[in-house]
Amino acid sequence: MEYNDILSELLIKIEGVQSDRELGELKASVFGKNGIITELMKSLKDLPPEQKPQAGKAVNDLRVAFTAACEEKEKELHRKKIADMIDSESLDLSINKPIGSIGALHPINQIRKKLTDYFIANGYIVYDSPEIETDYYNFQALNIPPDHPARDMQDTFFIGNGMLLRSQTSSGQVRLMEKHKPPLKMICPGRVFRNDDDSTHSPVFHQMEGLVVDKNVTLCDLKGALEGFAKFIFGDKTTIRFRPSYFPFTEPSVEVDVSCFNCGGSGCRVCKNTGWIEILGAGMVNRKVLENCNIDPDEYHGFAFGLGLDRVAMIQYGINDIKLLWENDVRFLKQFR
Amino acid sequence: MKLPLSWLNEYVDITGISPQELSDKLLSIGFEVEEIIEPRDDIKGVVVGRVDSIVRHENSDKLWICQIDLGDRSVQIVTGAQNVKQGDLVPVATVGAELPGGKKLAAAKLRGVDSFGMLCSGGELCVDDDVVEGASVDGILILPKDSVVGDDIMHSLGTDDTVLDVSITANRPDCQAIVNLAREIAILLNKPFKMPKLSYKTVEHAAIHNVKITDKERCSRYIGRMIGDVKIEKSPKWIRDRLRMCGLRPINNLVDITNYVLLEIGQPLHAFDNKFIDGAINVRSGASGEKITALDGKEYDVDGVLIIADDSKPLAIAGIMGGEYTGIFPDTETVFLEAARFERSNIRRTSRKIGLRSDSSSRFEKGVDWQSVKLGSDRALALIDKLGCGIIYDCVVEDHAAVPQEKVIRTTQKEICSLLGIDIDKKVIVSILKKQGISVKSEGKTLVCTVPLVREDIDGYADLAEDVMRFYGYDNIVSTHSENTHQTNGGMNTHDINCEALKSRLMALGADEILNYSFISPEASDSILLENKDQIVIKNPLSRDISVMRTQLVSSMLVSISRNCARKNSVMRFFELGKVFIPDKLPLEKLPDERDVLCIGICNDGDFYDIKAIVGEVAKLFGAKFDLTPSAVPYLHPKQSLHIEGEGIRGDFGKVHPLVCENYDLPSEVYVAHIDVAEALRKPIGNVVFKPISKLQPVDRDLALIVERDVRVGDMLDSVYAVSPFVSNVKLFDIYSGEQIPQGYKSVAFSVRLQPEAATFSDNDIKKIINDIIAEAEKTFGAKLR
Repeated sequence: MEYNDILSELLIKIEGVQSDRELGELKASVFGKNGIITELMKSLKDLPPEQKPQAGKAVNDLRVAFTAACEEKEKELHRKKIADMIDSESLDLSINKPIGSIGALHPINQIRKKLTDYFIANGYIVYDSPEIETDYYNFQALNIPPDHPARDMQDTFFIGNGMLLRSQTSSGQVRLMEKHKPPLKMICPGRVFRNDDDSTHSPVFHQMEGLVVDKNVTLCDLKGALEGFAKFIFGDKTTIRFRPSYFPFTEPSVEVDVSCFNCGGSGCRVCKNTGWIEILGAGMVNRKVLENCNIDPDEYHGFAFGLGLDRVAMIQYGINDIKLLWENDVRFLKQFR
Repeated sequence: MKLPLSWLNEYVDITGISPQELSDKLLSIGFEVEEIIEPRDDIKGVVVGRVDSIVRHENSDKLWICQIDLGDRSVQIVTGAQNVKQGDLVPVATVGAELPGGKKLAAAKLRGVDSFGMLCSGGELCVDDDVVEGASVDGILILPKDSVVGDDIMHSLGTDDTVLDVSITANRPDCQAIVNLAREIAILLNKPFKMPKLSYKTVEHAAIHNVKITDKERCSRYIGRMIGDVKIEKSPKWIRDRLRMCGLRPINNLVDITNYVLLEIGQPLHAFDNKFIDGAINVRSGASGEKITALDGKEYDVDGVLIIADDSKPLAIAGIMGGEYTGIFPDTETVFLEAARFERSNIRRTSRKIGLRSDSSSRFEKGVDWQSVKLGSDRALALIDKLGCGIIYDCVVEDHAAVPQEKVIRTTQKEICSLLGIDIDKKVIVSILKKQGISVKSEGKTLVCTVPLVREDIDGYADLAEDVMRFYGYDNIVSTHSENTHQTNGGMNTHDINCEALKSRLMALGADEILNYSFISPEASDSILLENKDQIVIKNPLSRDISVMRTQLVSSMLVSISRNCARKNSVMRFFELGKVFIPDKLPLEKLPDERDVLCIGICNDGDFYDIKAIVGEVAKLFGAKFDLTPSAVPYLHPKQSLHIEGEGIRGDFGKVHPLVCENYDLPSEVYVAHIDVAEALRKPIGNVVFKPISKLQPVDRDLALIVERDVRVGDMLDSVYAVSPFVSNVKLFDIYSGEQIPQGYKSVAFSVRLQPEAATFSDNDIKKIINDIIAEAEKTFGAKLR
């Protein structure tokens, strides 16, 4: 009876404990030098021997029960402490803090990378070619002799001494074919320059040349290659259309239109109500170009294409002013993160 | 090229085909219509009327009452115009008519008299003297006498025709002629093609001038014809209208006919007044010192230039422009009509050399074929005959080089189809080629194709394949996936792989990529205090601002930063990876070195230590080791800049010099780096070699040392690593001077991490290393433990 009363009293005291300090004090009053349980333990030795085992057990039970209650209380106090801490750490979650910025690749180079990755996966190598070129590589080797009217198609910047700023990445075709022999699959992305500056032209822009030379290459293979690329860029539903055109370095030559990704071909502002967007020029490599590179045109055929990366970027991102591509305005660049 | 549909309709029946439909069809055979120029539709209900009577209004000094004959009826109109007489033909806006600007006409009463319409001025119809003479006079437009009463005014003025502006590719100069384009359209529509009339009456006459081509390289054919008793007057309206629709100004009947033939047949002609020709015509190279005053009134030196000369003087710059006395004048009696074929590259070169162009020269530049010389001459004579402009003499003077042979191409159906990838029936191929005037003979499997001279563009079976496809239809080309070709390995080259790695690193460092033109202003180097030299100059720049090839990327970077600042975008971190062009020698004798340069620019987004850290990260991409030394580039702040040389990289970075900031109107906190990475980009970046991670606990110790104020802390901390191989990291956490620190000294606090490798450190081990560190700092940098 006595022990139970002691326990009940202690448990009530524990119940009232509010802090680690109070708990420590209570523990000291129980287990300390003159603590309740210490005293009880001491008093055991005065008991008659026959009562000792029972009383010993009772004191021990009391000790165990009190210790358990203390542990429970400790946990409770800890939980409360954490809960208080959490409460004190409440934040205004609506505030945004600026952090170190994320850099962005220029949109033209994002398109360049996207297309490059596509063609690499299709077995094309990436080839670099000089930006200042000789007349030979930019024109003559591509079947554009001096004073040919096709030179008017490209307003060229001249340096003198037969050197110029390349007006097309097609110069890379000849440089590649001089060094390497078929089978060849190559893209040559890079800067090109034309003496032209208005609302739709910039004197510096980016092209990507493509060239495939092998036995048995056909115009149908060109269509397949370009259709694959068009679907990759503009979506699976995209179709392409060939229409006859003229480039001195290809024969037959075609202009390639893609079905408008915006309206699907029914006509809208993006495609100027035609349902088609002109995207690139292409054709079967002219035999004179192959001959100029010492490749037998009776054994090998090739196809080539050239597209404007700036134009693709403008179409893809809905950029309506070509000047934006060169102004380097932070508000423009940051949109492409 | 402008193609008026009424003109086209003379040679191929296009009735029932809308202009849009025709444009779409032309596109399918390689002729892009750039614009469909529709007739004006802002005038309705205005017709030609004749003034039958005109009397004064009884209640007005200024108004007149006219009775106007409209053909099917007569109306009364009150007008305030003072230039109308009885019998005049005038434009009449009838009741209900619409005029430009949306004005609608209603019946009215003017001072008590009914008026059922209005007489119009040129201004009210928005036409000027180019459309009809007299349109710009003050008052009512008095129409030409040959106008038809009751005719719709748009028709009467010749402004009711639809014109297609067709873009002709450089391989088809033949289609710079309406007849040849009509022939293509006839094949396309499967309709008959009619040739314009080429016959004319002649009278017998002996030749007056002989013709000789001395320079047959540059002129391969020359035909001269004579027309006597010419009457120089205005051309009939239909000729004037057509010339105008094609952008040419009507002048007089003879000149207009030559222009008409230029458009229709594609053959430039020149009409000379015979009385200024002295003796025989010679097509020759101009001699040294020879000069000619052309029709534009300017004098040209014709040394080495191909000219048309007579016995005493140059008459014309061949194919480009006539001399001042060779035109057609009101008193011209006899005309010498030239039709010739001048070599296109010569005309192109000469025209650029002397800086003179004409309709004729731009046509010759594209290429005129052998046969159109005669065709053009005959067509002009047929028109002269038809219009009764003069008497055509039967004498023909001609000289020419060897008659060119028609090209013969031997090919097979298989060869043509091997290029295309689809199977087209041999009969279809033959039929399409024949329609285009190519004669095809079958010899077994071989197709022997003879190409008419007019198709100079056709050279081999690939050209034939194209001409088959144009009419067979490119929609029949299917997509195939190079099934019959070799497998190839794609991939990027080292340069591009490295560029990508470099850009990724810069983006991770928070920099946005920018792009700038490859050419800059020659003054750009001055603005960054560099000497203006070794720049490659563009001969024909768009403007001086972009006339030299860049040798550095800094000036463009600063322009970009400055532009942003002006737009109140004040914080930026940019990079550009671009090429600079370094000539071996100027003027350029061989292609210059195109070097890859990385430029970084920071504005209000960090200090010197940020750009130093960024540059360090860039350098480490290519190799762990690099040296930093004082920089000497003029555009950087002398106290806040360094020069870096690492594995394949070399450059400078730091704060922008205050004078340069002034030049670009920049804030003071702008930092740039300019690093040539050309060599680094050429070498593959080495793989990372993994170093094992110790399982033993590292030990951290903090130290505070007092050193003199000008001691270079970075160097001192770097030296700590050399003290013991166990030093794995040294981290600065404070530099302090002030209270408790002697004047002229600073306290440098840093923590050192010691990483044991084989066994844990004893207290003595640690103590020894720390003491060594202090001793080394004391020895080299005069440091004392605080």
